[in-house]
Amino acid sequence: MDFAACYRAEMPALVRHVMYHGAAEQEAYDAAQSAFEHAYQVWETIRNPRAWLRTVAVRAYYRSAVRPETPTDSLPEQTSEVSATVGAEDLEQERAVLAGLAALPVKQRQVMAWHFDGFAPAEIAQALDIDPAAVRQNLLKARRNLKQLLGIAGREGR
Amino acid sequence: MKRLFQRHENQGHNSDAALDELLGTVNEQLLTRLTTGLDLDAGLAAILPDGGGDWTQPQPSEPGSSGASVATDGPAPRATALDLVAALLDGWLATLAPLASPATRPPDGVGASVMSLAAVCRLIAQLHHGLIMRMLDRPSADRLARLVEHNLDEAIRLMSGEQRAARKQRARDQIGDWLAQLREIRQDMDDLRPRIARLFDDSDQTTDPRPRVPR
Repeated sequence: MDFAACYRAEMPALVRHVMYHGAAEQEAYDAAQSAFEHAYQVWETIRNPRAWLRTVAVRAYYRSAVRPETPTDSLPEQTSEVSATVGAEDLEQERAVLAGLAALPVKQRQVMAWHFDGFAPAEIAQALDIDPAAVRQNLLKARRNLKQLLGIAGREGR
Repeated sequence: MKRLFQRHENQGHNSDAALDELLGTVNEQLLTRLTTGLDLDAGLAAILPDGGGDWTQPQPSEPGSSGASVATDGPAPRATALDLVAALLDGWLATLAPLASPATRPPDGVGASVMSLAAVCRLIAQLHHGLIMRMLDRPSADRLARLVEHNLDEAIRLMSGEQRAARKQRARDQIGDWLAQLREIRQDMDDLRPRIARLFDDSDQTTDPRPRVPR
């Protein structure tokens, strides 16, 4: 896949992936864009662009999140144009799921973010440098916690 | 929140199906909204030298000049010592920053150690930024590295106490998981200062402090 095609295909999903790690939309966009800028410089050496981009974008987000000079109070608000494309209930659902993910323990949140993007446990294990069994265990725990946090626990969860 | 997801609960007869449906819906919804809202042409034009026309192979960049991170594919063939140190710092930050993030709910009983952990993250980010931007001289880089070590030691010490004081076994186990990650990083950190010092070996900083890190 060439770089431009990859950018067009992956950029929105990459922004979403960083948002699942707790970033606001603008922060996620900046991190994703920064990851693609780096990717462009070393494109020919990247064997698995989807995983590479996710790892680098999340690291860029964490770097910007802890850098003291980052002006966190001046991030632009979500544009009304974007908000207008979805209904209020959809937006509320989206926020609730993002809040639920943010409330998960770190490993569970990371595993869920990769899982959402269609990565198999073995791929997630490789990307996060953990055991595949730990990935499956964290997925199970994350699902159980999310059900509680989102208030959709069934009878078996009570 | 329960009211909001009532319809998902009612549609499926078990909570797993309801959760899958909800997550699937939100996942798609978010992707659609981002795909519609993002100006991909402008984003691409900001990266490509020809402003987004036909893609051409990028020119080989000066090693280390982009501050690019070594990620899942391992080091690039021509990664410099600076690239490797930057990647090492990046990796630690990727592990520690989520633990110190205000968005993360720490295990019960964890308190002051998170402050030290947040300081470690800030210092690592500062060191990373200073090195790749060539803004640090040898003493400043060494001082930052020492501060990273000191604050991580402090975080481990405090967290060990918090683990002992935690009332529930579950909390002790969770704190134990965090501690294991911290200790692993602390162990890897042992050769950080010599590695950073070696980055400056070729620069004559007594006569001219620039460039601070050899290119």
